[in-house]
Amino acid sequence: MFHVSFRYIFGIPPLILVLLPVASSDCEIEGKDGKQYEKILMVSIDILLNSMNEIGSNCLNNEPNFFRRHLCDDNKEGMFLYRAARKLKQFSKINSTEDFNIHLLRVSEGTLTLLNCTSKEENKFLKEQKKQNDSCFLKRLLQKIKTCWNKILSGTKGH
Amino acid sequence: MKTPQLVGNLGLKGVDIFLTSMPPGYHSNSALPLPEVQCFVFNVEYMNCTWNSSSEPHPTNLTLRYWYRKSDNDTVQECGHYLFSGEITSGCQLQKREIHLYQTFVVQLQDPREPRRQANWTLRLQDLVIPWAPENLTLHDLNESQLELSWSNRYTDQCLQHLVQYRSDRDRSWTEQSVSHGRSFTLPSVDGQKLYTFRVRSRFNPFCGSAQYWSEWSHPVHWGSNTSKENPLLFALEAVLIPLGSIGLIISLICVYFWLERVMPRIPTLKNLEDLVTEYHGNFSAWSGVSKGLAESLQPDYSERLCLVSEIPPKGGALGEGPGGSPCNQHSPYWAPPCYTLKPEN
Repeated sequence: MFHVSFRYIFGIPPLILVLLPVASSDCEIEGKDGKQYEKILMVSIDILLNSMNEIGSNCLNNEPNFFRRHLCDDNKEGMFLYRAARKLKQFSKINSTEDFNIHLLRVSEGTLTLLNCTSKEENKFLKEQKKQNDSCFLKRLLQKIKTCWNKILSGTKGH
Repeated sequence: MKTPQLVGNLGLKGVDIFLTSMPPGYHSNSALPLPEVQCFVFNVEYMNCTWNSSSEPHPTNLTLRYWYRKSDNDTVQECGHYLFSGEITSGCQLQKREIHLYQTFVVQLQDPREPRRQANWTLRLQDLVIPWAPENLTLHDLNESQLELSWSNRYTDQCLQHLVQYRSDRDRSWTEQSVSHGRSFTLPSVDGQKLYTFRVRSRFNPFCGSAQYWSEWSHPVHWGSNTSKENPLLFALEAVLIPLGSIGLIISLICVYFWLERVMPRIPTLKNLEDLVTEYHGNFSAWSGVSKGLAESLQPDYSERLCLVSEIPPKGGALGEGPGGSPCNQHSPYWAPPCYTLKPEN
């Protein structure tokens, strides 16, 4: 009986604390009518992806860790976009053309503007793979952001 | 030793190819390329992934496996419903419950006789959706000249954009109009004398995916009057020759009238006879409308001996002589009176 009490006292509360971020509500998403996505975000994403057309032939097949840990799952689309947009902002500090940076910021800042996230996460999740600033990752990040927006605007779950 | 991998992009949206390389020691006679796999999601109801089985040098029942890339422990599944071309597998059909549009889809094709001969394709299914064609096209009049076309789709309208084509029976080509939102299209002005034809198709773009392929065209719908098409020759006859001929005839008649006016004088009427005295003071030419030139031309320009002919009276004067015995007795035969010369007046 003592072992049972011990387990309940010292086992469950930490478990609750760990699971709390997972179970917490996702970010509120504005712009579900698609206007901002169609007029601003999609335009810049397509421009960026088109400029990276030749990238992919040398990219590895493995899924980067960032995308293994952060998925555009049901009810977590907002949080994924929040993290992906903040990750995208890092690439704007890399030396690239002015137009490229403008579109990067348009996507990242535009996405963050449409999100209202309750949990203010530290940048610790951004520290992982901070060195992964290669073009392959950037291209996949943009594709994932676009896919997640498509899912949100479709209004479907489980697809 | 890390095995290199060859990755390429076919240029098709939603498709990235990953070809696994051959391990060391693999021989080239087994490195035959596999046919490309193409997948399309039909109205998010089922998906067909197909390949060209006839491209194989020997008939081979290639096997297809698929998984959704989420983690390292993705569940690999083999195709549960193969499609056949003759006796050879040529595709796989996945049902709705097996389709997850917004998860990275990986399909692998493998030669069962040479397991090392395999290829993977990474697809974004939301870019490969083809909706069903629009249905229930309906036309109704908004007012005298405006026409509204509406239709229905068997998928969420939010995810679809549409293309409307219309033409009349007088047009040679279609007129196109994109419809981004809603399921209706308004034609601002229509001619009730023409027969219009409308058709619509849809695409899964841009909100829910970036598909490039359109659906099939809807069944066409018609509006207007079904007048028979005119024969171009008949049209030329009616529109050109007849008006020109009529104008020419009228002009000819006018010319003839004026010519006759000049040539043929007016026949004087009796009721105007007193005008000869009151207005024209006995000037017959002016009153009759005969021009001076014409009147002069009617004057004889020759001289002719005028001979009166009468009978010479018999000898003895039996017929009775008048006083003076007039030689101009017209009733006496056998008498030749003197001849007079008629000269034209100057």
